[in-house]
Amino acid sequence: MRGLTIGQLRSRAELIVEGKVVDVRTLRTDGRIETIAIVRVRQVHKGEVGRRIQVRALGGAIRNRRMVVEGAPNFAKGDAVLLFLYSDEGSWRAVGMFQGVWHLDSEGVVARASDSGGASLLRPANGNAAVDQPERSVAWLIGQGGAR
Amino acid sequence: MKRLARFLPVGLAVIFVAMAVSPAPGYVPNTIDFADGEAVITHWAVSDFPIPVRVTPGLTTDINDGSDRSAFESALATWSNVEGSSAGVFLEREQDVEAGVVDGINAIEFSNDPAFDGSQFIAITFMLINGDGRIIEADMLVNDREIGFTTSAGSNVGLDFETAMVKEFGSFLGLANSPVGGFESDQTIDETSAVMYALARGVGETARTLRADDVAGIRAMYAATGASFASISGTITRAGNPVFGAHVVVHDPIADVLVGALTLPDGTFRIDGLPAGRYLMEVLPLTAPVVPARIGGIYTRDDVDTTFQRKFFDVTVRLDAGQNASGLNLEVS
Repeated sequence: MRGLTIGQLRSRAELIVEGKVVDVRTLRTDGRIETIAIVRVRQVHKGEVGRRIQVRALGGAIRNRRMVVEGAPNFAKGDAVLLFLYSDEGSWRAVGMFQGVWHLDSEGVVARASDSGGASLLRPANGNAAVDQPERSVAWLIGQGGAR
Repeated sequence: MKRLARFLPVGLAVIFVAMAVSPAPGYVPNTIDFADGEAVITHWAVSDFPIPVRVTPGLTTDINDGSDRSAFESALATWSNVEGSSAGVFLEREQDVEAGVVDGINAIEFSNDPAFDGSQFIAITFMLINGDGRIIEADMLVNDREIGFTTSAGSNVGLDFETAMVKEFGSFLGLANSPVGGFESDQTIDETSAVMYALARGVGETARTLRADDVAGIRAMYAATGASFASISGTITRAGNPVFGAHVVVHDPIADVLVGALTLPDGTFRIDGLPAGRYLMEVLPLTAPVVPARIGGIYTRDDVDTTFQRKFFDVTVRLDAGQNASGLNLEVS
C-alpha cells in the first residue's frame, strides 16, 4: 500500500471530519462482507456534510465467521475519530484505507494511527507517511499547526 | 533425549529443558484480536494444502509478454517449496474472479475498477476465518489501476511484480508483517530484510526469494511431518514483569541467519524453524518505522511496551539440528 504524506491525505480527502462512532453494522451484499460505521459528526474540517455519515470498510463479522481484510480500518462503537474520506457511490470510504482513520484521545488533542491490519506500506516519494508516527497532534493532521 | 543447548559465555541464569514447553507460537503470525479479548492466529489447516487459486485471465495489464504469469507461478513456488514446510499454493486456472466475494474460490483478482481509486493499496488479502482462526477461503485483490508493475528486475518504471506477489502470498498463508528489516543509508530497504518486512519494497527494489525469517516463519506455522528444526524460547522481563511486544532477534553471523519473534502478553517468545547454528540474541522495542500498528492484531493493544532499551545479550546459543533451547529469561530495562 502506498504510504500517504499528510499533504496527500488532506488533498485526497473530500471530507475531513471529527466525530464519534455511534454504531457499527456488518452487511453481506452480493457475497461481500462489509462494515458500515455510523459516525456522528462533531466538527468538519474540509467539505460539507450532515450530522451523521456512513463510512464503509471492507470486511467484518457475521455470526461465527469473519472476513479479515489487510489494510482495512477497524471501527468500534464509541470510538472518537478523525476521518479523511472520499465518496464512493453514496457512502464514504477512508483515504488510503487504514491511513485515513485516526483515533482521538479523550481531550481530542492527540490522534493515534489505526492498526494497519497487516498491510505493508510503500514509502512516499516525498516525505514520510503520516502514519509513520503512531501518534500525531490533531492540529498537525488537519493543517492548523501543531508540534507534530 | 535431545542434547541440551550450550551457552557461551555463561553469564545469564538460563534454565534448560529438553523439550520446549512454552505454548507461545513464534514469529509474527497474523493475529486477530476479537472485541471480547480473545485472540486467534489465522492459519490454514494443513489438510488444505496445496491450496488452489484462480486468477484473472492475463493477470496484470501492465505486462503483456506473459512474464507476469511466470513471475506469479514463481512466487507460488517460492512459498510451496520450503524444505520442512507443508505449505503449498498452486495456480488452478485463469478465469474471471471476484476477490472479496464469499464463493468458495480462492480468487486472485487484478482489478481496474475505478471504485478503488484513492485506496492506494498494491494488493490486499481477504481471509474468511472461523472462530478458531482457521482460514476457510482467501482472496487477493491486486490494484491494476493505480500501481504500475514490471517484471524487469531493477527497473525504474514500476514495482517488481514477483516481489509484490511473494510478499502478498506470505499474507495469504497467514504470516503478518515482520519487524525483521531495516534501511540502507540511501533509504532503500536492506537486502537482508525479511520478505514479510513491514515496509513494502519500492520501485527498483526486489525481494523474490525468502529470507531466513520468512523460511522459519512458514516452517513454524506449517511444519512438515518429520521435519526437525531447532528452536529458542523463553521470557522477556522488565523489573521482573513480562514485556509484551518485545522483538527478540537471533542472529547467526556465520550462516547469515537473522530471525525474530515478538513476545506475547505474558512475555514469552518462541522462535521455531531454525537451522543449526550459533545464535547471538538481541531484544529491542517496536519503534518507527515498524511501530506496533504496522504489525497489527494483538500488537495494537495498549500494553505493548515500546519504552525499554534495546539490549544485546552477551550470549551465544549453540543449537544442533532439532535442538530446543527453552526457558531463557532475559531482562531488559
